[in-house]
Amino acid sequence: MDTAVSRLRTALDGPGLYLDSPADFAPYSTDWTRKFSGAPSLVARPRSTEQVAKLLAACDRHGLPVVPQCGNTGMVGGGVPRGGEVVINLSRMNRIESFDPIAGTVQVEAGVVLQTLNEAVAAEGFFMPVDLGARGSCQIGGMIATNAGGLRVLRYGHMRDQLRGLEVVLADGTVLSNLNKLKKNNTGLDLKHLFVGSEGILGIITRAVLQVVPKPPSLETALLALEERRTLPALLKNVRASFRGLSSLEFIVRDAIDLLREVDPGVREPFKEIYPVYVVVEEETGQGPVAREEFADRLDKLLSQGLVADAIVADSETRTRELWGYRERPTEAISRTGLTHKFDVTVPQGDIPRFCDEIEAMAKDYAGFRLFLYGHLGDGNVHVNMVQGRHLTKEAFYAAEKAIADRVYGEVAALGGSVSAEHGIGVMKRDYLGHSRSEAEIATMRRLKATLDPNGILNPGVMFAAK
Amino acid sequence: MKVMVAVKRTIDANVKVRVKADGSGVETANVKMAMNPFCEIAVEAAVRLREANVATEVIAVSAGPQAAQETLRSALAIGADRAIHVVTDVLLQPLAIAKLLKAVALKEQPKLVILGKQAIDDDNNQTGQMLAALLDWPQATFASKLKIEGEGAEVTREVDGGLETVAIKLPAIVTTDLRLNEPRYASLPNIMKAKKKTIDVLKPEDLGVDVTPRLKVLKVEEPARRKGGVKVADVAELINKLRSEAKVIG
Repeated sequence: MDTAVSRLRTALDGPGLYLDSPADFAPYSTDWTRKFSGAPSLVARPRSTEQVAKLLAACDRHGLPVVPQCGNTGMVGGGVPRGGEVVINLSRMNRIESFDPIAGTVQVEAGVVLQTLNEAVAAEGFFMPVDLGARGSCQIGGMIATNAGGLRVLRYGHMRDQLRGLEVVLADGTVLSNLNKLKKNNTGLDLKHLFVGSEGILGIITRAVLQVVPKPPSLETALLALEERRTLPALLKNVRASFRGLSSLEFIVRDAIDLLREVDPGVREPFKEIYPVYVVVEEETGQGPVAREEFADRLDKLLSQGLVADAIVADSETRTRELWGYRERPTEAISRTGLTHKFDVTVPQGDIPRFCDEIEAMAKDYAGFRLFLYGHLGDGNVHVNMVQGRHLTKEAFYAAEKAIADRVYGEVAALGGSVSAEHGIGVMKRDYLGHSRSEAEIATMRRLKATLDPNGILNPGVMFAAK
Repeated sequence: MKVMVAVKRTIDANVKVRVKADGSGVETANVKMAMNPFCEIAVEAAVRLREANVATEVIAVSAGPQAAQETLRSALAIGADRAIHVVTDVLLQPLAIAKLLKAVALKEQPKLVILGKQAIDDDNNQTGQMLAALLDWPQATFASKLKIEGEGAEVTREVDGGLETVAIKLPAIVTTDLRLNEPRYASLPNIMKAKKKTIDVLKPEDLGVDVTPRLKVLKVEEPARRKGGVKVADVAELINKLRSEAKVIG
């Protein structure tokens, strides 16, 4: 490894470009789940597109495999080394370069943290429609490379839908720059979309132009309690019809709230009674007391129709955060509890109750695991978490992985779902790509990969097994 | 026994407060507002007394512009029985609010008035104390525990260095500290019920109170921006900097 590193350093160096000591590599080596980890041969932290281009050209010339990395909040092992690769981390490319309030676009470098961007455009009266729990760490480049979705896909779509322009460095160092601001621009093949969700196997995203949306006058948020899971699809249908400004509809199966209260006793029981499933509903409304009253009226209708058993309405930002916490905080609570087999899948919304039933039945076959289910009711995205219980050894945890994955993905395929809703394929799901994609599609993906990265240096082993 | 609670509409605790460009105050246009968190605790305390059959009625009172009614609706949703809104567009200072509350208290004859210890906007921490003086009632401020016993109340106060428990005679004024309780969530059924409760609207003139500000705000400015930290190479440099730059050691 030392020789490869020294060759790279000879080809290109700069003050602070590389991290020298392997002792400093830890934050770049292990992903958010702690399941995927590998020692890099070197960590490079470029400050410009030009440096990325030079790094990639040198790596390509010397046959050095590369792992592109942003905020390292991935869950499928796509952003950390398998072992021995050069990590190119884009965190230092964190400038918000320009903002156009007329076009409603913002041009950023790949390493800008989502929350930083959101705060910057908020000051101008706009907001970033893609929002997710990892907002304080995840970065724009990684969000594009994984086509991140999150909490408001229902209303605003994914990263792909916000993307106007993109700058990418190809494996050989070619800079493919199209920092387009225009909404309408049908001129030839729209290459940027190739890189959305490409998980770093086709190029390294260095800059992007995103559209942002004027902030709604107000957001109303409520936590709903349901008597039973069966009514989730009916609730979705009803809410979509009557909440015209609906921006988010999320569900949490009870066990996740138990876990939350177990990990943090400060979290209170939301309702007087315990319910099997909860839903967070968020709507963009006009400002003022009338808007909130109308929101309450719409909720009251759900109550009188028997779709909802009880509800809490947030009457301050503090409450809004508390209510969202029931949906967002289990992720962190799970991570503090044990290792987790995470499955991020989509099923048709109408099948969510059935899917949850099947998964719960499956989980019963694996003693020592704890199951937590929550997700996006609006788009059918269910997060399945099989967590290592206190008495389950690490060996037993990993030994069950394949069998559990086969069961979960089997159910997903049977319902015509997707094995990856928003986390991507990474190394975790590459054996299951065929559950959601045809052979011809996968072959075409490989041809594209071979064309753009003939030496196979970019994120080898991610999405499909390395050649 | 009637309990009266004062509530104030303030900038939401989670909103970043911005100072107006001309330094005359803070920006409130298009800013999210909510009930002052200490007032929420006061309402919760009153409603709990009602639920324990200690209080017979809880009356929420607010003074300020039309929009203060939203805050009163929140108080009614927590469980207050009715509300009184003293409507005025004058920017009210603590003394004016205390005088208004005194007038309402003399009308309503509550045995107990509960207020937040302070409002998070101006941090004055004055209204409760002024009200006690104006009414010549006993006061127990910064309450973290409240127990009503017969014609008196036992109140545990959070003071520097510990807790102090005092006994006061009713009628009295109590102001709430953070640890008194955790206000409940506003449940939808209670929000719907609150819509049907009455809010009586009064003007300061109706109460014979002159609310003209007595103090003039000269200037409002943001605190100095925090400077970024620096890394020091060793303990010697740290000590040197603490001595020469920070001047915290001799």
